[in-house]
Amino acid sequence: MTVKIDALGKACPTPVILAKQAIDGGVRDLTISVDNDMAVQNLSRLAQSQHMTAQAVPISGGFDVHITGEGGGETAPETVCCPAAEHTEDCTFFIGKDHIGEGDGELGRSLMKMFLYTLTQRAEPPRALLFMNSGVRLPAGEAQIVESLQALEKKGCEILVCGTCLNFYNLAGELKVGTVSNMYDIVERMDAAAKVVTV
Amino acid sequence: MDERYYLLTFESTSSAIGAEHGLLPLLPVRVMPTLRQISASCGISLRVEPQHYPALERALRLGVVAPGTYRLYLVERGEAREVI
Repeated sequence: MTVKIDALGKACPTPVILAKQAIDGGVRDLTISVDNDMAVQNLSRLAQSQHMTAQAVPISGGFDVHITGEGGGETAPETVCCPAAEHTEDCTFFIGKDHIGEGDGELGRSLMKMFLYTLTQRAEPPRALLFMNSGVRLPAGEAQIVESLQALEKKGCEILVCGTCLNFYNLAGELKVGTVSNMYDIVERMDAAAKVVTV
Repeated sequence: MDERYYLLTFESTSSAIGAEHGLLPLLPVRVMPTLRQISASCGISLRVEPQHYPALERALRLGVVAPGTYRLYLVERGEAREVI
């Protein structure tokens, strides 16, 4: 009987771990659904190391990887994790204004809304979002942006908002999401991050 | 992946921004990037949750968004299907 595992949306290396657990548990006919090429490659390497065969079939939103065979391998190969997932997870974003780029302000504000929405759609949230200067208008402002930030915070992303900037823009009582913070904490988070991207 | 929502795509960025301004007083809309699978001239789309579809339909019928400047899709499990 084929065992099915739904690993769609699961961050690397979870699909390989789930497959390995099933194989270790004696499963010799396995179908695992994944949503990226890297997971397919990792599962193929796992199958090879277990003396099994893997075949990937495209499905809506990803691939079904069928792993079959007698099994009997001892060690799992090294898993190469998806660069995109690692990248976002290790990343801290410094947001120093309420729009993206220079040029038309309205377009820039729409782009910022889309940027924050897109972050919420990723499997792994960034480590932290740091808001300063007019960027503090975002966690104190529009419903869509506040919802996106709340969703990110729920996933474990730390949201720090410069208190001096909130005072400057008379927004001290308006903050809807995040923690009022200061330059010391913000610099500390920058220091701790593998990568800081200024938006 | 189990998400289900309506998506308005536009031919131009100004149409998208104008539609957001027109619709926001009437129903909640969210600005999001146009899905990769949909070919539209503009990268900005508006997302509407299913419970607000009746309000969206009313607004579109009233011409709050200029006819001919948008397309309406239903997105289910990541697949977009155009709604006539």
